[in-house]
Amino acid sequence: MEAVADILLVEDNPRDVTLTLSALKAGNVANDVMVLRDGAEALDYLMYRGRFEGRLGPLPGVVLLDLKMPKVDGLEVLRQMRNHPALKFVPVVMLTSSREERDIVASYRLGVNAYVVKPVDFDQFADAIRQLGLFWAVLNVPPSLAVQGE
Amino acid sequence: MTLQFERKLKLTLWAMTLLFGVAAWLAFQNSRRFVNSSSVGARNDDLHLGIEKLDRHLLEAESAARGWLLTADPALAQRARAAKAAALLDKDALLLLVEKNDAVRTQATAMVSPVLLAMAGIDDLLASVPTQGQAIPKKWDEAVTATAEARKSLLALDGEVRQLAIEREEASRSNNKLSTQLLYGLIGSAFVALCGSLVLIESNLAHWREADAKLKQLNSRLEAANDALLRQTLELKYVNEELEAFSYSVSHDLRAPIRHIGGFLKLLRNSLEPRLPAMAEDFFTTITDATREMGTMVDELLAFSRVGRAELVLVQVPLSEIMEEARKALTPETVSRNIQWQVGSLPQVEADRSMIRLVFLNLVSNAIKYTRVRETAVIEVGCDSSAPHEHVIYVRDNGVGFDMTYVAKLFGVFQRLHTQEEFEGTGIGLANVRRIIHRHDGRVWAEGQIDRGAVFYFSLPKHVK
Repeated sequence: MEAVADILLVEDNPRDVTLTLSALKAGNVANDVMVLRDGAEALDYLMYRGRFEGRLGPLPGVVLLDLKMPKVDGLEVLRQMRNHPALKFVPVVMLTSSREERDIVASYRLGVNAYVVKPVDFDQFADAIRQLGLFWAVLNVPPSLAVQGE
Repeated sequence: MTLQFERKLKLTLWAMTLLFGVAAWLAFQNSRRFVNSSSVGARNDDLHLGIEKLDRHLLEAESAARGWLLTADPALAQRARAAKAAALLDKDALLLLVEKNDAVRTQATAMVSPVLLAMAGIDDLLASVPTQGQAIPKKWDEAVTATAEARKSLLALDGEVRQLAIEREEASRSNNKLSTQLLYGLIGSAFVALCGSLVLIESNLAHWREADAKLKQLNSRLEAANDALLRQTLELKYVNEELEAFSYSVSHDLRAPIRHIGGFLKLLRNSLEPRLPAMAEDFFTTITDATREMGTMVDELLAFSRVGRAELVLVQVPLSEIMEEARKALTPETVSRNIQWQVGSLPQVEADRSMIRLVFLNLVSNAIKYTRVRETAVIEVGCDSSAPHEHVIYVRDNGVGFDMTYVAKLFGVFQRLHTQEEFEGTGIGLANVRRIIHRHDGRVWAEGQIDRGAVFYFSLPKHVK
């Protein structure tokens, strides 16, 4: 059995966290999900520093990143990840309410792997989360695992 | 008024020039006449002197001759001869002087023979033998008489000359007086004309000053109005942007709570027993539908806002291609429908492709939707390019139509002329159409009749500015 990548969910809204987790569960995406509430925490987690210094466990197979967060927002997390040699190739999916063109362009310019506007309708939202989980956490082969497999 | 003033001013100035010209001419003439008359006066003086000289020489010649006759002194005879010769010269000089003077020539000629007679008398005396005071010869008396005669005629001539001089002077004086008066008159009227034109200019200057002040006042008022208008326009633009930003952020921020309501409703339902009382199930359905509806509206508002803010990317767009795309995209809506399409030739325009596509999608989708009740729906799309500056594109259907009374509402946001039960929809489509067409400097309008179909028109400029 292949190793299953973890999912890192960075989301400041607890309701969205609940809904996302339940959607993943309902979609039979059984990967471990690490939930963090803001960008600074996410960076600490990814870089094994701060409160996550010396943590065990690999890098996540995909980061689901909320665009708008207090303090360090999604774009900043993405930028720092792409400038970090170890995090450069970790897949990042921007999950956001914003269909603003400049947010989309900025995300792709920083090297996002996918940009998903959270559907306002819950059924559609759940479906989108399920598909995302399936593709990025189950089907997609993340670079870290590819390195390990060699 | 200004024209009239100009004419008046020109007239007075010309009159002034004329008057001064005439005055100058008169003054010139006058001075010439003065020179003339003084030369005439000088000639008269010469005449008078000449007469006096002739008279004196004649008298001297006569008395010397008589003295010689009495004393036989040869010196006296000599003196008499010399005086006579001088008198002769005087006479010739006088005749020469009067030659050009018609007025005294007759009188002058009249004195010639008495003078010659007097001289002959003097010659006779000198030819006689001196009497030494013993007897007075007959010739003595004759010579005295002739001389007296000659002197009388000379006196008459002198009187005539004097009289003439006086008359001439008087004539010249009265003439002078007349021309001086005339000169004064002319200068006076020129002065009046000058004053008149000055008054005219002054009064008009006052008018002008007044008009200028009024103009300046009007101008400043206009500027103030303009400023106010500009301020208002800016304010309006600002308020509009504010409103736009507000509606955007409200709808944007509403998305998450709406999603949460829908999501937690689902979670709530799932946490309950699979079978609920029918009424409770109905409530769940209603809340879910309402939430979904709210979500749709919020998303449509966001899309509408984007249509207003997104930058136009102008490219050449063949509308017939867009129409085909729209029809293809709407195929799911035409399933099990009998639709007769009549698509005419459509022009190529310079526009934002995705936005124009949205216009066609909305209009064609409406046409499909509102002809649903027809056994055979007829949807006609065409273009009238006969106007000089714009293409007029129309979408005509034979659907349920609408009441023209409410035509103004058609293009408003979330404005509908049908209930959700009759025809589904939120009423944002035509608002988007209008917004897009307005952003392309075009116009939108519609015609309809209840149960007789509807026509939606929009225009696009042939040449984009």
